[in-house]
Amino acid sequence: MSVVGGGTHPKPGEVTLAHNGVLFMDEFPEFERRVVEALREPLEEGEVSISRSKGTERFPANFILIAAMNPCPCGNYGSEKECSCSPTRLMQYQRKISGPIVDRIDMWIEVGKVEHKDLSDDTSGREKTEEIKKRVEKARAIQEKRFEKHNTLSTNSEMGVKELKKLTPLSEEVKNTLNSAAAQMGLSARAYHRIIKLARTIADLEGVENIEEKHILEAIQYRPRQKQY
Amino acid sequence: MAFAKTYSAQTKGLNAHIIDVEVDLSKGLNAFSIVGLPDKAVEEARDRIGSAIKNSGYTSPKSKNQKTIISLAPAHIKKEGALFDLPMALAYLLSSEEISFDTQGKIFFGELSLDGKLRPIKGTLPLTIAAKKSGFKELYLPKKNAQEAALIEGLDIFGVESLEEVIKHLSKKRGEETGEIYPIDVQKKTHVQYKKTKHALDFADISGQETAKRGMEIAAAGKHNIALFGPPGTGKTMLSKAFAGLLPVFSESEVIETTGIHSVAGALEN
Repeated sequence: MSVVGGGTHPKPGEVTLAHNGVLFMDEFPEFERRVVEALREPLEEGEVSISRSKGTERFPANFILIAAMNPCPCGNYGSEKECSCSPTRLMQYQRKISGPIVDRIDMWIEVGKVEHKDLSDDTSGREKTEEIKKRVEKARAIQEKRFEKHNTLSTNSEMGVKELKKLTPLSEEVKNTLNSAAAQMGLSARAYHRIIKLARTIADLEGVENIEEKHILEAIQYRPRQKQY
Repeated sequence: MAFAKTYSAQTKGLNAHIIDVEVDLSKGLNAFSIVGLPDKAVEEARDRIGSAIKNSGYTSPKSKNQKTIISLAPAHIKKEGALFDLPMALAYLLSSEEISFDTQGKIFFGELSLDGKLRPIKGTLPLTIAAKKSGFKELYLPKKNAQEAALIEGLDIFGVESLEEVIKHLSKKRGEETGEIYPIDVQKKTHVQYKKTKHALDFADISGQETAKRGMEIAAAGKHNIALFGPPGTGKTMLSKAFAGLLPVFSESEVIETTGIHSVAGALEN
């Protein structure tokens, strides 16, 4: 309730407090299933609807979700260290994230152990936040222009199917790449559209007008691999 | 006069409804009732208002033999919180004719302490927006909330410290006694100032994880949701902390929207 909002008289919860910002959920699979399921609506609609006997309220909840998780409760699954979880516990944990939530998260990124040789205090080779931010701002400016006539939208992730068709046309070649990947991976329609939106952002970061094959391919990289979830 | 009305508002979600605060006095045994679906805090106003009025140098409803009815209209909207204390106290004093002023175009909010001082309220921003939309010209509220209210242009914001201050400023009767109008400064428009915060963590402070950093760049650019998975100690939390630094500054309307949300949730600390 404090996450989604509620109470006898509907009040904003964490997802609304994160509106226009970021909601960071650490140890994501440890959250109650109800809470995870309750994220469906805000992730898809950018709003959360609370119905109580005393009234219904719609609160805005347009945020970026960062969900951090271990591969299993003990943390070692898939690494060199031995995983001490029982098979049931493991399956339970990995199933915690239901199918529909998996589809609603745009990117799945593995954060692995850093090689000792790469660990150093020498930051000279690494990009500062400021530099990355400049590219982010440029990409946002492109999106602002794109959504000039659609003022409920400000970023690519917010596009619905209609806007997607209208504003992100794909060449035959690119469509074919996408379709064969979709067939191969058994992608749902929702996942299909998310890939296009991601590819659009990747192309924006490059300052490129049309989505190219490489953008689609990179976007596909970020889908969950079947073995994880 | 026996009947008087002032204006206030009730937050509903992130918006607000204008509320008419009506007071009617009639002969009869001492009685005091508040109608209009008041919650406990609103009902308890009776005691707060009584003491605040007395300690401000006026006659408390408790000391008179009369029937006082306060109606917060429209009746079907649930009234919550102590912000109606101020408009109720003023409407009472108007109906008992101890003070006098033109109530049109003015709207009031504020919880009253027993000594008559005003206490801050929640939800200032949506209340102010509703007041402006409904054409109010003057808004009176606790001084501590004035800065938030002044994010909105188009009406005069008066931050006040006590019931007595409001009365001295508004009441013709008082003016006649002392011959002067007690001025309250209009709150200056609050300009959104962007503070350059140094974020706790810079991406350059994180070793390796180029793929994850790339992912965060994309997530920030298009507002995409992201799941980070991996063994403990690989820097997932660090990456998430650094992420905040990539987000562009809020536009003015986003500032107002987000401040309004935090205001209603009582999460603002001025």
